[in-house]
Amino acid sequence: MNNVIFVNATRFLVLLLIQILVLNEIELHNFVYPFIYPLIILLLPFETPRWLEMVLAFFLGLLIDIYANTIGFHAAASVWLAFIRRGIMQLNAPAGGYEPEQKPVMAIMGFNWSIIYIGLGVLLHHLVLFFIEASSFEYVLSTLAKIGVSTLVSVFLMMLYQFITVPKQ
Amino acid sequence: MRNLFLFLAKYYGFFVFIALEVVCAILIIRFNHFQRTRFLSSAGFLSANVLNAKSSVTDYFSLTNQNTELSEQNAALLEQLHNGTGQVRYIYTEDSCLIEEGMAPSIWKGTTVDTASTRKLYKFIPAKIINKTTLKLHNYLTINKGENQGVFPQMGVMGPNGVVGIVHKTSANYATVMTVLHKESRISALLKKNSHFGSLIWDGKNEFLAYLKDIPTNVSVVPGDTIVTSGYSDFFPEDIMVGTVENVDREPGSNFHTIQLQLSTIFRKIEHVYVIDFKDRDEVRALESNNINE
Repeated sequence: MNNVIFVNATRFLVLLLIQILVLNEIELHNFVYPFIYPLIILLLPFETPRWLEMVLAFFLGLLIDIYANTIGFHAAASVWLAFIRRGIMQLNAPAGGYEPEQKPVMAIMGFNWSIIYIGLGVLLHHLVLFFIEASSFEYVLSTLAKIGVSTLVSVFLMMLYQFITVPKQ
Repeated sequence: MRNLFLFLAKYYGFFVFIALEVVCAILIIRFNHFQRTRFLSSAGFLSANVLNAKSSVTDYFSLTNQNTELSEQNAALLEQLHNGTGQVRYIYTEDSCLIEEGMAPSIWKGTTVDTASTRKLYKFIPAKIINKTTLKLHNYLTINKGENQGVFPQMGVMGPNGVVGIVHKTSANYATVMTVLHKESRISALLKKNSHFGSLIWDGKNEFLAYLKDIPTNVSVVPGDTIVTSGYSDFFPEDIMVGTVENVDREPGSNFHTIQLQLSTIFRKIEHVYVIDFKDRDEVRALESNNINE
């Protein structure tokens, strides 16, 4: 149990620093806003209590917001992601259901499961985030384009992170 | 009653979700409305210190460009000094200098201004940008000077090439600046050649282009015309560069031009700015508030 907490706390810190110090600085063509911090929520163990997931997501989002001067935007999108991730798991459940000791990481669930899970989660997260930021449907097309491109880049970075951090057998 | 508890227990995840999203909605409304934020921003103590440390590392990568820019400014200052434009009075203190109005704008524009015609005193506080955004709909800078150095909300901010924005929030040693690239930003600007003035706004689409509104169609405007600050607000002295006209359009049935202009400040490159402290601000505001009360 302590080990689970340690692993998740380390991941929390590492991904948060990558997000704040590196990814927040990336500016490409007005369209690409890569985010890696949603992975912290997506990789929480299956048996995490639902309220804890959402409270963690709230404070994680708020931390990102404080550095980006966008109080509430990331918090709202993160809580939404924490709420919806159970639904994505149901949609994406393997034939025999989930085993109790499994974790939603690529090393255990496999590449295909992982990319569908992360792809859907990030898309729904970015959808909420960018529409809150635009705070209107005035620029729907450019907002959708931002969401599409940013989702691709975010998913790529998250999968890359999972490839790099595969635990040694 | 028992059924109610069972109902709550069964769907508690959903209620936690709704409760947290309501908190988020309150935060968004409370903290993202123009000029209502006071804390939890990048002027905050914790985040500003981290960003300051980051900035002290990343600064090395642009030293060459910064040096070139600073030496160009020095050259312009020296030129100004030796050309002797009117009775210029300047006092250097530790990290700021007092300059008669008229002196400062011409430094940046390379033209001369008759300083004898104006009496307002401006203080320029140099500051370094430690964090910024340029590609959002509401863009802010964080600078490393705050209330201890005399930076307060509602002061104008300019860069080497022209107008940058207005100080938004301040803490003891840091401040955030609402840039021209902000959908709520309104800065009074005028056409230099005929002094017709309007307000400068930004549509959130392109970090290099802004719009000048309220110029009537009977005024002739052509691409290439210079747009400068008007001096009608107490944020900026008159005659600070804003940009050049890129495109002039007229919407059918409108009596006003839609003027698109190329901003002279390139926000993604700028690293050093000057906060403009108008010495008689309180006196002018007190006087003007009397007008409103009457």
